[in-house]
Amino acid sequence: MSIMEKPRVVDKLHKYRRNLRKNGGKVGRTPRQVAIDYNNACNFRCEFCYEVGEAKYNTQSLSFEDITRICDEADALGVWEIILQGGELLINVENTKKIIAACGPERFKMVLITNGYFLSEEVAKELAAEGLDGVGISVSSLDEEEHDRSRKVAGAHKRALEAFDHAKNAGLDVWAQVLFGHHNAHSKELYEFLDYLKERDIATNFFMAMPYGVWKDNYMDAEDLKKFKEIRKNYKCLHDLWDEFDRNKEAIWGCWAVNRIFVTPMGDVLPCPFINIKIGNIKEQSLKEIIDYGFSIKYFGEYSNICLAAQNRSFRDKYLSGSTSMFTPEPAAAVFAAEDFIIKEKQEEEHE
Amino acid sequence: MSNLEKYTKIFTESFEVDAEKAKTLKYQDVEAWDSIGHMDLIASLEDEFDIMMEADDIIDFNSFEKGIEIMTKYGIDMNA
Repeated sequence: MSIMEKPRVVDKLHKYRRNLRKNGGKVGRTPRQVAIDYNNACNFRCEFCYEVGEAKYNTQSLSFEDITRICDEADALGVWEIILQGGELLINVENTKKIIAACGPERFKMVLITNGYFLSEEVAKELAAEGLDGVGISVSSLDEEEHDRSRKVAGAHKRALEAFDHAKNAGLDVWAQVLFGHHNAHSKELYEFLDYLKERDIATNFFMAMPYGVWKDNYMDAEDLKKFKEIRKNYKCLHDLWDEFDRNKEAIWGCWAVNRIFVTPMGDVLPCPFINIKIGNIKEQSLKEIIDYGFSIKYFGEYSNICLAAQNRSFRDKYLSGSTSMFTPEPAAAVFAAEDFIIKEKQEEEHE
Repeated sequence: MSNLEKYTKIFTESFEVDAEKAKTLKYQDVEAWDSIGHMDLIASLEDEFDIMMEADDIIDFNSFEKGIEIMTKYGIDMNA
């Protein structure tokens, strides 16, 4: 289903776009997206996964009632995009359909992030019929052997590539979720894969390698960023910092922390999937209270033209040296000092 | 520049087509006129003509021709 067939989404997207234009093309404090991590059960054991070793939490799930309430509140705040992720939700297709239904998919652009292993054409068609609009498939190269090795599942790469066709045939938007960082910015394999996707008219959504765990110290340098700019110009691709409406493919709308909150299976809310700092819990507070609190922290309430989690070394060193698990995030009140908050009067003035 | 010329110019710039092609254009005829390109087209028209469209009109706006009809609804005289 196209979002053009969802009047409520068109209305919210229209208002969101106008707010951005009024704000000089910067993300500002307009909520856009809620990423819902229903649970973290997965059929892969990726060596780079930020939750590897946290399998003890895999029984934790949000309830359908929680999801409906989050989405009702998100809709009222103008959020127009819901991202469903895990874990791997398609290990239980029927449950995934119930999750989509619980969101009220007619109100949102509905996106599923998947490793593609279980995305047959039949499943893709069932999900589209349920109200899903797009699928992001996690695959970063054409190197089948390396893909399967690092995920510890034979056949993972082959099935991921087949999943692109299955999603397309079901009428879903489909793109590759591709990791980009210092490690692959100049690698031949990356460009071969981007060409492969381009030939098939498949878009790419880049997410940055976070400089901790297996990618420790993987900070991009100036040459890497130059390559990233070239990629943006030459391929059909998206990245969180880039203004996706800019037809010249140059504008930066800035870091989305808090504009796109992340809800963990425990109900904890993080500013984004890569910042393990808790700004609230949906079982205890309203989404509005949580988002307002998040934006009161100056790093999230003020514009940043770089990704705080991946590119801002001082932010990472100062505030992200604690827990790297979404299941044990540090409360924002314990991480930030009084001077890290925007005083209320200033916040209201800036928001006018 | 007439309103029709301004309207056409937004199409030619948004979708990188010439004026003749623009006049026959329908939603999704060219890659750039996808759902994202559509919202950008609407925003450009709203800025140029100082209007704010309703969601139903944004959805109904599925061709150059249909767009002229919708613009008229917002008091834009395309002959002016």
